[in-house]
Amino acid sequence: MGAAQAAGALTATVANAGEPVPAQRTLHRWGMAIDLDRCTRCQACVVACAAENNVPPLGSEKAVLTRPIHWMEILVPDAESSAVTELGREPFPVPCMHCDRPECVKVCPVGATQRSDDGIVSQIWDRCIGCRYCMVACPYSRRYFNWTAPAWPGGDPSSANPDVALRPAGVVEKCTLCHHRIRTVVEHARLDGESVTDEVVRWLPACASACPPHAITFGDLADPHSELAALARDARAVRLLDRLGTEPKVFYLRTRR
Amino acid sequence: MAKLGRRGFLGAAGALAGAAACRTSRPSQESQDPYAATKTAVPLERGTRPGEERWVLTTCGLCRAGCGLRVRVADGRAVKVEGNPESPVNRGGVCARGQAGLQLLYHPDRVRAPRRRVGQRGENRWQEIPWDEAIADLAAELAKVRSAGEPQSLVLLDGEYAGATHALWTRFMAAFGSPNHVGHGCGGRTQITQAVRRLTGAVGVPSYDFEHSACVFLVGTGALESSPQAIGLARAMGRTPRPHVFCASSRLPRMATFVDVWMDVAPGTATALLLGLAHVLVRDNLADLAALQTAVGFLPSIDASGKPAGLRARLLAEFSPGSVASLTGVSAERIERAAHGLAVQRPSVVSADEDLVDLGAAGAAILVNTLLGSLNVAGGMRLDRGDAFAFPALQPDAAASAGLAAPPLDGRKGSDFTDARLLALPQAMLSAKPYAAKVLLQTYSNPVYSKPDGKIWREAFAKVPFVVSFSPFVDESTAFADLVLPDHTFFERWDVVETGASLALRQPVVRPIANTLATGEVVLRMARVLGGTIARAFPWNTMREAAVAGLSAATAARPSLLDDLQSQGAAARARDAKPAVVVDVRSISWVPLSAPSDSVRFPFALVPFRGPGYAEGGLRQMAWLAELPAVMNPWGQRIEISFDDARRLGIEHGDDVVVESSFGMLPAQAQVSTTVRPGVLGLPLGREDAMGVLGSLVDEASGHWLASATRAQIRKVA
Repeated sequence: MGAAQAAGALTATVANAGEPVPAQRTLHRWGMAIDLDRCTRCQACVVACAAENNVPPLGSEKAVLTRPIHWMEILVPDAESSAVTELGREPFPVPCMHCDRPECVKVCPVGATQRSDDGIVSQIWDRCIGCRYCMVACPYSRRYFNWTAPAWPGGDPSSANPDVALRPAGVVEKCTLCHHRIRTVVEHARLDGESVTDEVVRWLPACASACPPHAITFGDLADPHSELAALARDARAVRLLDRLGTEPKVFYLRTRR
Repeated sequence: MAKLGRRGFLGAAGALAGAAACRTSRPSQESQDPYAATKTAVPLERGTRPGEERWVLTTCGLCRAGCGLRVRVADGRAVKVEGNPESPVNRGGVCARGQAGLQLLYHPDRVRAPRRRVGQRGENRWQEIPWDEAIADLAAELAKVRSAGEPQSLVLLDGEYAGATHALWTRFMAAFGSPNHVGHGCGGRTQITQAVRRLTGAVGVPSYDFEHSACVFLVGTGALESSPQAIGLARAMGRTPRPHVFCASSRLPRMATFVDVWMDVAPGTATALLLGLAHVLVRDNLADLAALQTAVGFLPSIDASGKPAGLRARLLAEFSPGSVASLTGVSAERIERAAHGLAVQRPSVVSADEDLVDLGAAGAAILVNTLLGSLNVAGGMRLDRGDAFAFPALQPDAAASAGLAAPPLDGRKGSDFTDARLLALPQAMLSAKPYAAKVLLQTYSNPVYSKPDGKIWREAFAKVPFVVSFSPFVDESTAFADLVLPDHTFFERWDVVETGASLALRQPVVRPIANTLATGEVVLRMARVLGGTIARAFPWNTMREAAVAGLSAATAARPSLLDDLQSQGAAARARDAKPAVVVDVRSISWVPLSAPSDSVRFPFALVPFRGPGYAEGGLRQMAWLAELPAVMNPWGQRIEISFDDARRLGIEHGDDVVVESSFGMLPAQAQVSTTVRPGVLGLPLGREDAMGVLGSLVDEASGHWLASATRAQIRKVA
């Protein structure tokens, strides 16, 4: 994994040499909608994400030193506080917003985080120098620093997903919208000469796939006919901290109560 | 690609993903240099090639819901759990617990081979032995008690309630001749099954068709957090329009934002609340007429003293919303509104199916469902038959017949598994009355940890000459065993699981990662060693063979059953369209608990609950669950207290506190909550000492644990 992938350059090494491969690539703009009227806050998405992306647990000793890493997090507003989010006082799940104008990218001194041309805000662990500017810049606090090396129960990440790199201590990590899964499906479609349909990507990220009430819809905002594009136009749709102009691509759907 | 349906793409895409797979470097243990990373890869499982990948269908074993799973296996290792869209239980979704199951499979503390105790009991010194020797050891002890003419002195604590392994155990106990097959749940599973059997005569656990309900009334918070109903309820919340949800409980989890009406009922009074709902339904002629007429013990009759009897008369006389309001603390108006809500928004369903609600509430819930006409209808409560396994009839020999005729040690009234009174068992074992327990087997159960008053279990274990555990972990009860015969985890074994709506296949996803053996196989091998009628009762070589034989009636009715299970992971069960149910309501009653004797010293009711990460044994060490985002103090104990009480006592959110009851003390961190009823302390179970403050208070009539009857006080640590 690394630079080539993050830049979106798809090489044809996996294709059979003799077969012609369609060259054209359609431009996607991946995003997500989370329906809070459906969400039961069961936190299946949280664990599904950790399992898919090899997010290490802290363990009992380190838990007192730092916060656990959750690419998909449930934020719980203080029930007594006067500060209210766009979503009221109810707990809500938050992945990276994959902003079209991401603050984190602006401040990274080494180009370790970029907005790829399919809309994903990536993080290249190998390039990260651990300065944590991006963590300060992100208005959604969706970035986590590896203060220590990951400690797997028993020392061996036996159930680690081979498609996702493990992160060492000293780097920042974050949600990638499961872009290894996206890449697999997009590549498949390209090799088969088919287009990537809503049906195929609807359940793509681990969080969306696990969600029992189907509250998470993944899709392509570049396609005006996609389910996601329709949800983004829904009257129930809001974006977090929209006024900052970060243009987040995660939409929350909720009925005001 | 286009032909692949929802959530189906990943299996097909696997080959490519596998080809592209790269094992990256694994950082070394903690070192001074944060960038130091060794380049050692995770070693390949034997018999696999790099990049080899497949998806295996199986069934989750972390609760009794039985969700269908698809597990991704890369390089011989299970790396990701996804839901099986074909499963009628979960339709592709998986809860947090199911996702974290891999941490159970690869848990570092698993027992890696059979072992025999070498030190004192509880000293945790063991010697690993071969399986043949371990099974011979166990069979020798069993043969000893049988040849002494006391087969009844064998006690089996069994935490499973359905499936092939449970069916084999049931058969083994009958062939061996012991009536002491005791269910581990001192709560819901036996309570709801017992209530169903008392009221309807049906066998098995009910299921709830929340997905087609317009209105759902939950008693207790299990379905919101941890119970097997949670997955069905979550699926229902994904529907448009979703059901209207009432929840009657003394506390509400912060995450349960989808509960529309929280009825903050006083602890231990849910039964009265349900009877209040029944009162309103009957009084306002909202009840199902046919059900009223056929129900046994419902309509007025005259008792011996000439007074009107029958539940209807009692409901109308004693459970008016006004009087129920004074018992439960829920206003009469809210009771009326809830009853009308259930009556108007049909189909509606009441669920009091949780380990921590009492038998009365389980029965009253069935009554209200009957009045609503919600038994065995879409959107209602389904009384499913738990009889998928039927082995050929068994002929116990003389020794076994004599043993089976002995009174069960737990003093249960009936002879059924669901009548078991687990909490009476340790006392009987201590007093050796009516007879002594000589051999104790425990499978899927850890009473020293998970039952109130664990101390008495430790003492009772000490009285038993031979204790055997089948746990894959050295848990608190296994620590006192003489012999440990570690079971596979559910990812490594074969079973057929009975869920409410379906039969589901459980099959090995990976090779056993340690020298463990499925407990069902142990039963078969043990029976063979014991010989005689016992061996003849188990003519099967493998668990799979046994399960197929047990399913013969089901496969006769549906020849494709096994193929369907293999190809889809689950098969819906045949159901009668609307089997007639005659409900016998004579056992329904409610008497308030006597007032606490020490309410000045212990002003709070201690209400235990199970959060999303709760489970027994090694599960509580699953780190992903322990560190769920909203859990305060993830690896420690917390206690929920209402905002008002906290302010009065000067306790702030996050303060260190001590909870004290007459049974013990518990240090904890205070979680101040607006959704806890004043006068209640919400106690999350799952940490080491939580059970120590709870008393083993038992409802004498049913033998069930009164979970919310413990009184306590709380104070801030200076």
